[in-house]
Amino acid sequence: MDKFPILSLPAVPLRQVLGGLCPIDLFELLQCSSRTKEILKSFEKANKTFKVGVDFQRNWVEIKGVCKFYVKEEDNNMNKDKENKKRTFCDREVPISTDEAKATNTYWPAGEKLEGTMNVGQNFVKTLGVGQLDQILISAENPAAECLSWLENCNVRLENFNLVGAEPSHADKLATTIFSDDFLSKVSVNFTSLLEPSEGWRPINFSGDMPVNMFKIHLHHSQWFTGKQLMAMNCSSIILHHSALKNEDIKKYLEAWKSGAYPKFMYLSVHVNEANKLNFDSIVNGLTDDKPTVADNTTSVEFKREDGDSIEICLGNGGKHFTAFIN
Amino acid sequence: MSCEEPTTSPTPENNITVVSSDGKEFLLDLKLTEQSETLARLISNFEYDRTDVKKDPVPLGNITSAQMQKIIEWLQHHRYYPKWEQNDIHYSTSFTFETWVEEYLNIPNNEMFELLNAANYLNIPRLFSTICRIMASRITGKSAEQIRTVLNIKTDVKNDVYTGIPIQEDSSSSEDGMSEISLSPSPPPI
Repeated sequence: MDKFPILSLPAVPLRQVLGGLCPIDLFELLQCSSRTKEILKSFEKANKTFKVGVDFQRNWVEIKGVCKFYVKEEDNNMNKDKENKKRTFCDREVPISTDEAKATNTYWPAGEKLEGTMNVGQNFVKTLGVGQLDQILISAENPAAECLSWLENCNVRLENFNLVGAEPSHADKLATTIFSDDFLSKVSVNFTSLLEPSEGWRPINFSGDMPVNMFKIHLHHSQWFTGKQLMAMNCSSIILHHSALKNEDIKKYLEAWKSGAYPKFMYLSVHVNEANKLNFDSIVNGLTDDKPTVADNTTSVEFKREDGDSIEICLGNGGKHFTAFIN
Repeated sequence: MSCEEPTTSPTPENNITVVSSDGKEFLLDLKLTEQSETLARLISNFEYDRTDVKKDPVPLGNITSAQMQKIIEWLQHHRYYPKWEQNDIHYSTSFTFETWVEEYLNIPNNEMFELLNAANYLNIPRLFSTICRIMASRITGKSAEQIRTVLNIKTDVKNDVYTGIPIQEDSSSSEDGMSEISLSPSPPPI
């Protein structure tokens, strides 16, 4: 066979050849060997293209903008579609089929969808050499602890973390894992949790001493969330439901913002729990002398800090919903 | 595209001599050299387009006589073509070429590789781009396993960092430390 040592081409012609490939071609070429990965990674296009998302709820792994790998269980109906193709994910070779453009079905033995999703996800983390997952989504039906253990083994950071829920009996243990300085430091963009820990649960490893740097944190059950932990949030957007935060907690955060802290801050929304109620005057006292306005049962006022940024704070729903946003 | 190709004979006033790496001299019409940005720049810098300037032979140490012969064939065919405009080829997966080009590039892969390097060295954009597109067309639409087969990527075994289970890793390396990849000898339909 005539040799064409394509990877031995000088950079300019190699880049030109790669430029004629679409992302899915580059994605496949990158996985051919460690050598192709090493060389292609030096090209900007290959570096920028591949982001991996893992959805345990719907059992798929997505290479963003390139293709999606669905994890399905083997059944009698899929034999016609398999085209006898197979593909190896980590150590497991499984049948695959392609049923639409950019989508590949992978077939796993009954009861192994979770393992299949983990294998497919880990395969691409390794072969593409990504150090950060674009997204991970865990549902209440998934054994979240196993998913998080898998995530830790992959040794990757996260852009977007979504925990839809968990078995009530596992909720506290899971909460201890994800509401920790270590785990929170791994998420860079969005952290969304619908997890509902028990009433008396409190985080052990989330001290509030380390700043939490991410774009948005959204907690649907935050009765455990303290003022000290709020002060650690260096986020653009903070959304808390079932919160037990007090007037002085929110006031302290706003005072810090007014004195120049939290440069990324854009939005704070606090829905307090049944036993809690916020007081507008207690929150704004000392922050501004402007007279608040009342409209539609919502009290609001706007004030500025030294750099000119203006914030509008509102309290409505009978003291149950507080918002602050930068104009 | 069809182009009229009037015959012209190089004269001392309108040609230069290039010397291939194996010492063979080629008389090149200055009109042909316009397609090579490397030669065009050299001619401009040494003012070889002037009749009163002595023209020394130009050594092309990276080009063999066989490659030079092939390149001259390309230059002569495209002598009266308009200047090449580079299009954005990103995400294009299907390319078409005129019959003459298909026949011209119906050559063994090793010659194709050498010709691409020569086109890169002499900076002949139309030839360079054409070969790169053909190479891309041989990869596009294939899975990693198919590309491994088609390109003959050799692998060895290394333990997976997560599971400890053996995985396939590329071990092939040629003398220059790069992977040796072979393409199937017959080009796909274009």
